[in-house]
Amino acid sequence: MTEGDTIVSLATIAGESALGIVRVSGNLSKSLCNDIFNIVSPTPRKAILKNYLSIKGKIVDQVLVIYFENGKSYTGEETLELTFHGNPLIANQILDDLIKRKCRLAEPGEYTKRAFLNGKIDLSQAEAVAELISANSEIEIEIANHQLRGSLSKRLHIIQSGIINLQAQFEASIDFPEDEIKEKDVGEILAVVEPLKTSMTQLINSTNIKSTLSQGIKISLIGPPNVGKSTLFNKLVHENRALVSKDSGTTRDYLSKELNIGGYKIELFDTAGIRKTISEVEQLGIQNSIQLINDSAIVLLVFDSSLPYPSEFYNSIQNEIKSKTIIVVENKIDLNRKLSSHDYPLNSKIITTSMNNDDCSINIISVIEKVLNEKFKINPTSDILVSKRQSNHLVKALSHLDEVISLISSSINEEIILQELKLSIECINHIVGRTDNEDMLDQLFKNFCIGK
Amino acid sequence: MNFGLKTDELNPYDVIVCGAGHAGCEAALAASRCGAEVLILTGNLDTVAQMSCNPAIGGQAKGQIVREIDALGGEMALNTDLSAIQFKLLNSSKGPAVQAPRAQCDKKAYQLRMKHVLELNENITTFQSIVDGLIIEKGKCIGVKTTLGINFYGKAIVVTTGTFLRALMHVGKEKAEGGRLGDHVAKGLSADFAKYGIELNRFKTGTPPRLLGRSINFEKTEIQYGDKEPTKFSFYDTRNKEEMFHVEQKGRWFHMEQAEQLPAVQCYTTRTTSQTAEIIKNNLHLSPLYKGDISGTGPRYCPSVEDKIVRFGEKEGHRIYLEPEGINTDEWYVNGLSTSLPFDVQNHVVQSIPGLEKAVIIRPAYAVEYDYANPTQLARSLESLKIESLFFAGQINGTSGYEEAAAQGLVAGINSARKALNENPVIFGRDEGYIGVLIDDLVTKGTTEPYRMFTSRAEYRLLFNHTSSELRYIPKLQILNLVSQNRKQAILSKSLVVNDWVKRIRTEKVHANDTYADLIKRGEDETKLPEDFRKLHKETRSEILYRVKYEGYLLRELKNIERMKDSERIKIPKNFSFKDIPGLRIESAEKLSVIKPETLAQANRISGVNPSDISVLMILLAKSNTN
Ligand SMILES: Nc1nc2c(ncn2[C@@H]2O[C@H](COP(=O)(O)OP(=O)(O)OP(=O)(O)O)[C@@H](O)[C@H]2O)c(=O)[nH]1
Ligand SMILES: [Mg+2]
Repeated sequence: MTEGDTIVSLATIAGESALGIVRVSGNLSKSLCNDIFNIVSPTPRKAILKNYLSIKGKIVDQVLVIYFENGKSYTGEETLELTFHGNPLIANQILDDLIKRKCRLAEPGEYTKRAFLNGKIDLSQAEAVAELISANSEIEIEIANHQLRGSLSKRLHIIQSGIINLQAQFEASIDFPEDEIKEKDVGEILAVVEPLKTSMTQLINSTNIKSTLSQGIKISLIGPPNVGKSTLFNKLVHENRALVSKDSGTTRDYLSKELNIGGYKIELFDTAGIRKTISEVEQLGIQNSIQLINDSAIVLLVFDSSLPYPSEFYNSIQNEIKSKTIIVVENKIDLNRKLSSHDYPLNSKIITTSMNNDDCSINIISVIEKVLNEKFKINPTSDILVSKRQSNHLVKALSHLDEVISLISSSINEEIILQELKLSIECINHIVGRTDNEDMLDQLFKNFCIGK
Repeated sequence: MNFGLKTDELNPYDVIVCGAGHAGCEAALAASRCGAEVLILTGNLDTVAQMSCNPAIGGQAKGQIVREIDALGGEMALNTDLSAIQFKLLNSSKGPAVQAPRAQCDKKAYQLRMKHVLELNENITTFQSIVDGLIIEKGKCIGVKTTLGINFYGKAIVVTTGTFLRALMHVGKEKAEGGRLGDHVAKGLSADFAKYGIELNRFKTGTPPRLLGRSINFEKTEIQYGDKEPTKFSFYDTRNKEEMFHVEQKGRWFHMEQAEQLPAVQCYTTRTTSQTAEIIKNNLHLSPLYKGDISGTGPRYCPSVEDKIVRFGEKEGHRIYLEPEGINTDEWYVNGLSTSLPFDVQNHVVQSIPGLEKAVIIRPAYAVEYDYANPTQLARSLESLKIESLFFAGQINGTSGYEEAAAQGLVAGINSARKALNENPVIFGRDEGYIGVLIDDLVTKGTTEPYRMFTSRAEYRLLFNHTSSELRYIPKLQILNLVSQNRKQAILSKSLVVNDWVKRIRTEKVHANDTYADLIKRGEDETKLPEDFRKLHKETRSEILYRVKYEGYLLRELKNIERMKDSERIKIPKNFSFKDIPGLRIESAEKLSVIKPETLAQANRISGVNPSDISVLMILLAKSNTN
């Protein structure tokens, strides 16, 4: 074990009122005893009631401290066990404080691993524990539930009960063959499974969103030259950053600026207008513009409504914008309208506006905000989204639902379909906590009149 | 051989079974097969193995249990086959794992044959007397008291008193003591249980009215035929004639060699009407269930007709089954019409149903409340955790159903005999079959409604198809003397045949690209298989085909079992203290102390015990093992 590698974890966190335990294992244990509790030489295996003093000198909670010396703890290392009032906030504060004091959060099963390495238990046992912990750690689930506030955890529970309902439906027809359970046809089942899948996919995507969001969401202004992109850029960032002129090809290199729209962190790009050109510099700028389309989550396509539809421009970017979220801005409506053809990408939002109009940016911002909310559907200020581990479980759960769909279409037996549903829900259980057959039976008896 | 009763404390029976219902009979028989000298006591010899509710054995999940009982040498399967008057394979259009045999039985024939089996058994003494108390010495049960004033002594005692503990019957506002119409109540036992700290709780259940057949207009109902080709409960391919019909061959009064020709009968169905619903709604205030007179919890899978109409309405009506109680009686069981409404309302309800307009009730419906002993107070051997040498089986453990009772009886019989003979208990695993699931659920999770088996309770259900029962219990047959040597050999060679054929079908090529297995998986039928396959017994064939066709799914299950067994192997010592274990939550410690799991896997199945608790436990166990 590396020097100074002291691990901490929440051994238990009961409900709000009961007790919680934080365990510390490693050679910092003794000095922590001194630093936090002012206990210079702790008596091994003796419980002492003390105030927990944070690194900032604040009392966090009254805590029961037990110190285990080398060779006498679970892990075989020096260990501290801190029992506190089981309030998740206190738990978090203690963990945070210990991390500031150079401890690190234990990996699942790490205690057992250490116990094993220190000759405290044999391999097969350690393996089994490790598997149990990593497979189904209630602690992680509780922390996750605590962190997955609001809509996200609600959605996971909706998925969970959605699958349980499906199970109940199939189980009813298996276990009560004479109770006239109306079996759902393939279409009806798909109608239940598909929304579950969509919801799961969205959650999985939100793992990617997390990284997108923390770096800022890229939005770029794309269009032919001279349509008013730079003018719009300046309006959105509330300063005259970009040069504006009546000449085409004013912007040669792209510009970017961070801003906040509806709580989202945005990186906005003004780009060179796209057209056929012989100028090498302008050509380089245009290449950058096209590259920016690829990098952006949202593209604002800006057109000059006083000019005919720029087919040439559109053809040159058509491929790039295929999978993008598009907002079309038809600018300069204060002039005579010549723009007629509407060859815009499917599902794009269209704004008709004039930059000469003072409050044009308000409208555009509100549309962007709406699009952001639709696209990300989560509160970007919530600090923790679906973690990688959770998303892995979701991916697995989803694959079992896919299997369900393919089994249903090949009219395989219910009991096989149910195996897949069971595997699927087990994956979800890893994130939001255990359900068992009783939950399914509850649904079954609630939904079906059983009783020959 | 000893025909006389023994009342000498110094010369005890090996096993005393209290109660001769479905659990008691199997317990006595299993104990005797394990070499025990058994006394079986019943309050009424005329109600031995009585089917006090519906006249059918088997059905979904239960049918599988009966076949498992047969695989373990139990009597229920044979007894059903020989007293059945209609056979039906449920879910025959679904996969093999969820197909289940069921039979309508002649109730009296069933009872009498079972009674005769007990009488003919040389190791069993049957005696009529009401058990009124336990004789306990130093925390160990050594005998029972009876209302005759006679005490009987035994090395192990099995209590299978069904619903008779503090039973209270309701018909409308009328109440009567008794677990079954016309029967006595066991009071002394309840008191003794309380005295020794065995916690009792209350359940309720109900039965429908019985009708006089000739007052039913069957023309207005729909006929329910049985299967032309019956699916029987016993395995006949591994038995010789001697073992199949022992009662019929030795019996003095019964000669059922031709039993397969018991006349088949039909069942009938009809439906409740909007008039039924109206009568019930208007009289709901008279139902003790709705007035709150009954406090116990009833089974959700067997609701009263009041419940069905209140909770699910009356759109198309609720289906009602008319089932004959036997061939020598004109009494009919009205399945689906369980109620506790007053008798006059029952009449109106019955007569609002097509076909029953003029029907005469000859036995009223009633609800019954009774005490059960929370089964978490038992070890997996079904021995009490509180009183040594005392075993519990059947409805007293909070279960419902003849089959569930019989299965527990079998397990308690085996383990009580082993206790008496100083042998280690035998545990039935969740991976072996429904019997293991049943026992493990009961002792680990307890139950909050009368426990009935559902296939969904078995996580390895795909492996529990009814035809595989005999093969699954081979490891048990190796250590227990439950079947004859002949049959054991036959089962072993059947297992070899199955394995060989599965292998052959899997590997042998029909032509260049395909094995036989490929054909089967593609949905071809068995006529494409080698000639001699067809010579195998029908059930052997279907077992082989199942294993081939579902290979992938079955393998996955076997892998899951292996994983579970890893933590099943980690034993928790009997006197292990869960108190003051650092890291173990208080709530979990309390639950663990009550349920006393025997293995880590079992501890993991206790609801409310977290995986983190389990890892704490495991590490501690590892520590106590090394120290
Ligand atoms: N009449 C009118 N003129 C506008 C409007 N918006 C922008 N303009 C003018 O159009 C000209 C071009 O504007 P820019 O913002 O530089 O255009 P651009 O799209 O950035 O052009 P490039 O950088 O060359 O690609 C300027 O003279 C603006 O003042 C509008 O809504 N109405
Ligand atoms: Mg510009």
